[in-house]
Amino acid sequence: MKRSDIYLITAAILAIYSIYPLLTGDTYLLRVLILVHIFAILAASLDIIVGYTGQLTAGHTAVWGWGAFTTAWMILWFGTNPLLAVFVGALLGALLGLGIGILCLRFRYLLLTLVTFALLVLSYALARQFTDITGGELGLHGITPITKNPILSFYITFGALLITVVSLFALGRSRIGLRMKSIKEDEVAAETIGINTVRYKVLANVIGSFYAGLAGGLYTTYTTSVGASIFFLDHLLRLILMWGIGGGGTIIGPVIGAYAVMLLSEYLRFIEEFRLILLGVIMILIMRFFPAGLYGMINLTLMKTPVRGGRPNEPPKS
Amino acid sequence: MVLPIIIDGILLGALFAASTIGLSMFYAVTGIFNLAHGALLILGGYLVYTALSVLGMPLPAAIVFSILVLGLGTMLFYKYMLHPIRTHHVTCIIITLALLLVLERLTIVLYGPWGLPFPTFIPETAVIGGVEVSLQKIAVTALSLAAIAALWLIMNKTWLGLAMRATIDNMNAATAAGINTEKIIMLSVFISAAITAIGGISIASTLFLSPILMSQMNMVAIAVAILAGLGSLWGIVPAAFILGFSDVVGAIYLGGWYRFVNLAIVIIIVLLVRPQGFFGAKERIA
Repeated sequence: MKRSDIYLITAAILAIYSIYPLLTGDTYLLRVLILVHIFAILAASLDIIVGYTGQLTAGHTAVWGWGAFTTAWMILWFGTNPLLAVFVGALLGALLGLGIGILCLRFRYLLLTLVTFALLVLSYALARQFTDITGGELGLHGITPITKNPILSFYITFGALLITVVSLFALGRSRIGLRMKSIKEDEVAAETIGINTVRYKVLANVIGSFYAGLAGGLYTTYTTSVGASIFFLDHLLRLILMWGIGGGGTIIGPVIGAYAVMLLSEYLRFIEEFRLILLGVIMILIMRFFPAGLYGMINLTLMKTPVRGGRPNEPPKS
Repeated sequence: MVLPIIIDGILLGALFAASTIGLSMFYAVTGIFNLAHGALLILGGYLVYTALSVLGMPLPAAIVFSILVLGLGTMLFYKYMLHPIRTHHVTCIIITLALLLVLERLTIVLYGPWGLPFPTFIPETAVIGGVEVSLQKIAVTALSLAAIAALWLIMNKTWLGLAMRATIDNMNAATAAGINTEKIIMLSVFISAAITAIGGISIASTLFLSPILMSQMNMVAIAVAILAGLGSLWGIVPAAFILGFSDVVGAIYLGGWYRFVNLAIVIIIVLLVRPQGFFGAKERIA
């Protein structure tokens, strides 16, 4: 298929998708899709950190969770407008991303994953301990939603998703994105040709965490509650599933992965617990045999061009 | 007040050591950090439970069954899923994370999400300095320590251990010296899983069996392995006892939430200050 045909089909699918909520009365599916949008933002923003600079961070859901908490605090304590509160959550996410990015400069590969994982566990312990601020396991409730109308919610989250994907995709295609990718492929070589690896690694963390905070804010204003359970490992595992199944390093891949994972787990409810097992097995097989993921498969069948991605960096074995 | 702390610390330390040494060995040999370790560990306990209650085996046969099933399963998974791509670190970490998810959910499906009572084999208690300690706990601690000692003997006093150490040190040189490194790696993976199974049995018979323990023990194992230094086998023992004691003391004076904070802070601080760990014989940085 020609490239222009594919753009046309994509545009057609997007157009149908964006008028779909007006045509259907199925609010159940709409509610699922709103959550899909939020998680797709999270997965796409994870990709700028993992897929572009090769830093496998496990703290992404921690940033997401603190973004959600910040939004909740802004609304509950200061009575701010929910949209503004979401934005403040995103800013706090960016700030946390700056901190994590600087902290992680010391580490690479495995150690980075472990440190960020420890940050996630620490976040959970803190959120559970200081119950008067965070509400502990029960959480904070009664957060004002941006809108109660599911159709409007759909458009708000869909708009946020579009902005995220377009901006991250453009960033990925720009010189900055190329420099980030070169860091993933070979950090030493990137440094040798004069790329400021420190700057781009921190920058990727800041940008990715900004969108993670945004997703957190959208999540908490949509569900109107937030608790310590937001730091559960389950969320991280589901996020990694989306990233891996969709195909990392492409921005659009994780978004496709988010749709695949969320819709599959929604429509496979009849097999209960087995759906996560099934998704996990699919993910293991994809990572092992076809690391470009679903996006790579679609690309290969439509355009006959393989996508490089998914399987980053090969560090020297000491 | 001091004696119970010491006894509990020793019991917990031995448990931590037996639970972690498999993780460290797997990492040393393959270069892959197995985030599914906690799941494998608790699965070892579940396998013994299955052998005892479903298959009706006697205890020694059940332990052997657990070791064989877990060892062969881990070995096959490693051989076909991880070995061919073991230089792709990020991919391997993600695969082991997915394995953790799969095993945890599978356990919940097969055995239920609640804890299972593990049979008590030695109901008697011994009195040490006025403190009652269950004999089963002592026996289990002895089993864990014996497993670690056996591993030490294999690694340091046999030709097989020499070949393993050579493979860990420098795989290419070991191949050049005529060692079949592929076979040695597979065997080491088997042994690491066997020790993991024993650790799991210790946990099952002193604490309880529950899928929740999978991520908790995972965290413990990661913290101990990092405090000891990644890939360091014998640093595990002092590191495990330090964390065991701090866990007991912290639980008494600061409450249960201290456990996770403690482990998380240990991981972050050790990696910031001294990434090669405190007890590593070798400087091995991932």
